Amino acid sequence: MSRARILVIDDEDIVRRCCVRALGPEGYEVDVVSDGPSGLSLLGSSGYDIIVTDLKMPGMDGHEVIRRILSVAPNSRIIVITGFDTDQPPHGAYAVLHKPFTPVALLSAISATLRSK
Amino acid sequence: MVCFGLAFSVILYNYERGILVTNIQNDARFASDMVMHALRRDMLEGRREEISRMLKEMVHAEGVREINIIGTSGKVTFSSTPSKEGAAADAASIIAAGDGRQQAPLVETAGDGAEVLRYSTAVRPDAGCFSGACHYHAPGPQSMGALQIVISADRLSSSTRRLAIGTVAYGAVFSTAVFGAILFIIYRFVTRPMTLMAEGMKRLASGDLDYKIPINTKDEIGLLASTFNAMATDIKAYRKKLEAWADELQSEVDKKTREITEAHEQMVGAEKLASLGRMAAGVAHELNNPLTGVLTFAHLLKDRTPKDRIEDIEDLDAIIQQTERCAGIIRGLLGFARKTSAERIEVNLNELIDSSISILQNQSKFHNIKFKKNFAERLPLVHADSNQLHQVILNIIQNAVDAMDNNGRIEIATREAKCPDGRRCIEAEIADSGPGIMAEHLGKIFEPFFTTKPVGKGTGLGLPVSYGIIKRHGGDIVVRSSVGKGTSFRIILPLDGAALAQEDVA
Repeated sequence: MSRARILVIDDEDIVRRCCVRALGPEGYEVDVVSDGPSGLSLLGSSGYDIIVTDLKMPGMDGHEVIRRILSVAPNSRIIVITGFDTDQPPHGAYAVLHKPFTPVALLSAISATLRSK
Repeated sequence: MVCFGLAFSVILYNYERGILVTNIQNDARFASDMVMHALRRDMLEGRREEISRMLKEMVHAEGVREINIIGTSGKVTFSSTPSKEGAAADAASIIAAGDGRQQAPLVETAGDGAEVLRYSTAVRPDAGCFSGACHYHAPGPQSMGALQIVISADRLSSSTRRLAIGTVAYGAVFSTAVFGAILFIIYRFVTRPMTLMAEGMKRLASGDLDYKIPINTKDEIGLLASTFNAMATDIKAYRKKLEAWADELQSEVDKKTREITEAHEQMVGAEKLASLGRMAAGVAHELNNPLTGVLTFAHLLKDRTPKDRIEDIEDLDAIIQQTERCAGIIRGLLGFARKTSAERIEVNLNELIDSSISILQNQSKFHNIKFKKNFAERLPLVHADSNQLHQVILNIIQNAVDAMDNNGRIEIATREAKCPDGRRCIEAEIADSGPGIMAEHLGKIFEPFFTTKPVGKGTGLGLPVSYGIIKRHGGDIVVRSSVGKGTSFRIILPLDGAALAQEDVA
């Protein structure tokens, strides 16, 4: 089985770094971008197994990013990471992970999402 | 009135005196005619001595003072007083003797001061005079002389005196009586009613609406008084009505003012909490990013730290624990400000409170707390998030227990009530026997991070989060506290079409 490819979209550098450091050693191939449009352009050129996106970002917010991803790749698995206290994942997202999260929590969410494929 | 009496007396006096004078004049005329007829024969036959004798005798008749016969020459020819014979007669007699014109009897004062009536009448010739042998008079002249009779007018004087006294007395009595009667009539029908009316108006003007004018007559004044009394009664009734309206209006204004003030305070409080919530949410959200970094890297560092480096691992655990503590505070803040609606079901508030109490009673700090329940039977179900309501109830009870230092009484009552906006509501009242909340703290208890608990014991987020939850359910939390007596929290929740509970709750 090839390494799962994960795209992380978050405007916070520290969060992007956390994702890379938590997921990379576990064998995932991680790409990170700081905004929605960059993520969408990457998505067009290469396929990802899971897309992890923040909700509150300058310019295009997470909800818009999810809507656009699903319009070009309807089968995308999306995990939302947010600092907001939301119970339900936004429409179109598979799971929601509240910040601050631990590496274990992130890995669990990724594994669960991959298993649901 | 005196003038009127005098005038009346004078008129009456003159009238009566005129009648008396006329009577005396008539007497004089009668006497004159008698004399004339008595002397006629002697005159025709020229018996002068007989005429003089007759005159002297006739003058003795009562009231007759003097009888004179005046010739056409104007001199006294015969007189009952011989000394006057040949003397000039008075003017009236001369005129009567001269041309025979009748003279009005004259009342005059005699030389002795007595009042007398002097009456002169012409002696007119008759047929015998022209044919007699004695002394012939040629026919033609109107008068052959005059007969003058002077009679006493004493009767006139005494009667006049009596008359004067009588008329004056009568006038005085009459005018006094008339004056008195007029005065009585004016007093009875004008002055007294007017005085009473004036008094009534004065009393009315001074605000005494109970005063009644004591006039019960059937005339116009009586009608005026009864109309006035009715007007005063009407005014009193209107004033009472106005006062009642004014009182009602005042209490309505006071009530509305209170409501507006309370609504304003609530609005200000709600807006203050809402803006605090927005700020807290913003801060919380921003803090979560660096906390993610701290938590992630602490975990990564801990994972690659050799197991025998116990101290390093403990230090990293401390970092992880404190970061998670921070995350907990932030979750609380976000809970206070969260906007998303939770999943709601029909909740039986009595059962929910019961389950909250049973959870708490297992903890040792609740062993000395006495719970008293006073639940309403058939309490309507409320459409709510039961987990969140549970959180609110637990939070308020825990605060009460902390305030009472784990020892005291908590009374929990539920009831159906009316929301301030008129909707159907239910409410749960949780009252403790604690020390109460100081007035200066009461307005801050729903503000995030406000706490009176010792450092490390309370986050100051329990009540703000509870408040946020109840507000999101369309309800309100009302706090009443009395220092030294305790505090009560009323959690008010609108039903929003909830049905009645199916089972009675014990």
